Amino acid sequence: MKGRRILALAAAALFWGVPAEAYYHYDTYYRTNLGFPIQAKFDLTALPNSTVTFYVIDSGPATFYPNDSFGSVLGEVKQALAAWNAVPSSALRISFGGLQAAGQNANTPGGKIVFQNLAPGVLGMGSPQVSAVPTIQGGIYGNFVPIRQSIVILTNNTGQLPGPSWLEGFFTTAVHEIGHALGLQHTWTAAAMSQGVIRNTSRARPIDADDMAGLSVLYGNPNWTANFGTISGHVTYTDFTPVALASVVAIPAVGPAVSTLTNPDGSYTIYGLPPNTYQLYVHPLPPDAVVPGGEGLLLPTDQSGVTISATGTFRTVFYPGTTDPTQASTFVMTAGTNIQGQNFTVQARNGVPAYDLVTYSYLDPVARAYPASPAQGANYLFVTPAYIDSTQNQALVAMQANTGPTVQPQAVTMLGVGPAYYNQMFDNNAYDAIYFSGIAGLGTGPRHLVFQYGAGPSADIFVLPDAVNFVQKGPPSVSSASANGDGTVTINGFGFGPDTRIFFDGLQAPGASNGGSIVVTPPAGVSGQTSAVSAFNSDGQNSVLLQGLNPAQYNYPFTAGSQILAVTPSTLAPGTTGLVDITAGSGQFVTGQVTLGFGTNDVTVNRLWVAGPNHLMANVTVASGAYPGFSEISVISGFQVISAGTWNTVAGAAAAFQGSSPQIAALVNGSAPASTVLQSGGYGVIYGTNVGTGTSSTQVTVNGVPAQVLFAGTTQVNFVVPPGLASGPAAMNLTNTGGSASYVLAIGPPAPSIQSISGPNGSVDPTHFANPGDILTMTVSGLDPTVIGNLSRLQVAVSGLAMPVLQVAPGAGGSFQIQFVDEQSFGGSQVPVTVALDGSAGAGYPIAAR
Amino acid sequence: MNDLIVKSTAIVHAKVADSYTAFSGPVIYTHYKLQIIEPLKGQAPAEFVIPGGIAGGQRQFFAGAPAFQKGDEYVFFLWTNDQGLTHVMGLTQGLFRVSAGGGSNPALTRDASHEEMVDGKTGRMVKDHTLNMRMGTLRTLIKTTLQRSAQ
Repeated sequence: MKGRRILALAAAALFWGVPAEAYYHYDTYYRTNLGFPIQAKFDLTALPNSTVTFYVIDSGPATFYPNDSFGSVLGEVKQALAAWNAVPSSALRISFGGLQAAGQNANTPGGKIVFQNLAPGVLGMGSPQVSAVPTIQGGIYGNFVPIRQSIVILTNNTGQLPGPSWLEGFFTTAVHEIGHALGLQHTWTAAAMSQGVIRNTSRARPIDADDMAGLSVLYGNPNWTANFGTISGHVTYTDFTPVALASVVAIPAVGPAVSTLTNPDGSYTIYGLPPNTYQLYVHPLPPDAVVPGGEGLLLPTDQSGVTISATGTFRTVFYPGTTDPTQASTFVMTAGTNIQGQNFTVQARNGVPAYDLVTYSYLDPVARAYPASPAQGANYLFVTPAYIDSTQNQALVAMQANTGPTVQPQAVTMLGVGPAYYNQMFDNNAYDAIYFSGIAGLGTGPRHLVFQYGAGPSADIFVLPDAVNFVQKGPPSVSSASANGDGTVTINGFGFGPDTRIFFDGLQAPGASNGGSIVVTPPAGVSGQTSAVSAFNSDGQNSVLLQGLNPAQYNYPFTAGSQILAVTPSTLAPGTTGLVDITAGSGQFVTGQVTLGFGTNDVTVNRLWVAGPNHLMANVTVASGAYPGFSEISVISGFQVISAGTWNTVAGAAAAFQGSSPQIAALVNGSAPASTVLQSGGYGVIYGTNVGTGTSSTQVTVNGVPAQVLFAGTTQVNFVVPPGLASGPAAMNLTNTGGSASYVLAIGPPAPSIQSISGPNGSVDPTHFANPGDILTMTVSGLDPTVIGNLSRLQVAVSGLAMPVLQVAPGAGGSFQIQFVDEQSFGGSQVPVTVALDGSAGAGYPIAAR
Repeated sequence: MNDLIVKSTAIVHAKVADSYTAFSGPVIYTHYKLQIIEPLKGQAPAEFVIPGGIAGGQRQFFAGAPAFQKGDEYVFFLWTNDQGLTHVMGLTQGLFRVSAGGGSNPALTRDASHEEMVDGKTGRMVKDHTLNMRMGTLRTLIKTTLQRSAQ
């Protein structure tokens, strides 16, 4: 079978695939305590703002697919990092820092993304870097092995898989490898960190509950487990010996699975279960997880570096010990539920009946549909993982082992639906055709299959999480991209909805659906650039399924190239924070599309403002222990990758500079200390060191306008923001007897406040879920009514990820209703929704989002 | 198998003679020196690399990367990139272990990742997916594949 998505995602695995085995985390154990893993992870206390910043080594890929570009690759990398940054239960923040010169030194932990010539068949690689002899470090987050630096290797040639960069597979590969770099190994739940052959992620669902749990176990916020369920127990063989490295999975009928591996003493704990009703099963590591030669799973070691091995294969069973999912126990998990003592006794056996099954569906390229009874001879495309049209009552799924012969199961069950009514081998026994009925009206999203093999004592099962995806229409396709003359482009095609996202190469073009077409604003392009235009829907389908490597294209006009004219200042001393102002010629800077970086993990961009098409302002901090010397300044605007000279971190300047000069640590709204957006005429508070030397000798100006200083202590200065300032970034200058310091402050209107959110099924809140693709309506108060005429002033975000605003309308009692699309999955987690006007955001409104 | 043969820049029957580690940019590679027994395609390289290892007091570990011991004997399907680093094709896909004995025609085994399967009806092992062949068969396969590919 060959198909578009197979070509994009699975072909390499099918013929060349690198086994994707590993362990959940990179673990070390004390021999005296084999139930408590000590994980390798970043030290949050060593990271600025608890943020690990990844830099791309500036040589970039050497060879590109035709019309592919470095800017597109960087856009994909930035989005992949943003996916991990959007995990609300994790205290670790992940950011994209721009470019870095090869060989750049830094004393702050971070990540590097390099492009190297990978051998054919290798899509990408990721690794944390730790000291050669594991150094177990204690701290407020418990014992761990600190990651000093992480490495992600992506292909040096986007003309080979997983490229070109605009294919979804390039993005999901980047997400996966970054997961390794953060300290995660593989699981078998079809989530981002799953082995490639069974992975079922997309732009719409780049990471899932299993990934979020894995990250949160390493970096969870205090009490993060209180918002999730926890289940624990032991796994032993029938002779009571413990099973080490068994995979225990909690799986609901509808929703994502979450898993863990048993410790060497057989104990397990699954954290991070979104509220749902689960069944529990345990399966052995697949045969390709640990093989001779050290391939695959990086086994845990003891404190002396001696490897701790997995124990042998056993029959997969649902709790409390059945191969029949209808006989399995169910566990109702709510926030804070902690169920203990769920112990498995498993029966050892040699081998497993299946472990690398791949599902396919038939896609009719003319009707853009998944027929349950494909006609003979039709020119179908085969896509994997399979899609099932849940507006029909019946469905056909083809299944095949990724390698070797496909063993036909005796029965196949879809959790929450029931058994297949028929399955048979066909095509020289290469594939198994499985027919389901009774699926009409069962909604959208992934579903799980259970394959049953044999009977009696030899009975065994294989559970394939997220084996199929329910959808209610076929994939989108893009027929044309036409410039409108005003900077926007009209995208025509089929299968669009309010949740459709349009991408120009690897960058999203913001816009809104207009009936059968979508009007978008393309990302800032390079003069004369040709971009592939593709559409992605929240059900996981995209236009590449139908159009493959022949997408619609858009030709950017020929324009003058952007160049950086000035970076002021070009240096800051270690241990200081200050304003850096950047001006450009022929710039096309757009908020949300610009990255500014200083080429070293020792220099942090705390916040960046686009003050105009040619003007950037940023608050920048140089770490107190920064490695001295020059580093590369880069500005990435859309597809434009602009070199901006070098930055100098001055050696030895810290001590003398810090002696008396003011150092600003933060600037907040005096009336709302949680906000960093100030109102003109309101109060501002500066925190830092040596910031005040008394009101008579401390002066504050904002955009050159003197501000009234109310209080000026050593660590805090209170002032009145001058009235009459326009919304946007403003340069604040603080001068006292010790010197001066500059900082960018944000002037904005009062933040709107979210009163409620509703969706297609009523209220959406911490106990009522939103689904990917839902159009949600939030009721807000305190909104400037003039925003109705300029929706670009509004930013709605779910867990920090921007969502498209469809419309704003007046509501009752002076309130307003904002309609937006939840276009991404969050794995059933509780996530905050925020709305910002001109950058001024109020408190987050918690909702549960599948 | 055809892709392995065609896309590799060299195929060699060799033993691992020695190893060392070094950084290439920020990435640690373990370099394995080869003692060539028989070149089967292309010019035999002196060594190949596997990402990961210990260098400069630091350790990196990449999922899917195999490790070798001195004296390990394989047929290696290798690919040299434009930076001069030689990799094993598909990491483990391009490795055929050579069994001891067998003279000039030893048995070869590819430790495929998927070697164990159970008959669903009987519960018995039905097939080991490990790929086995004799050296002579591989020589012939390489020769015929390259001839077809050149046509």
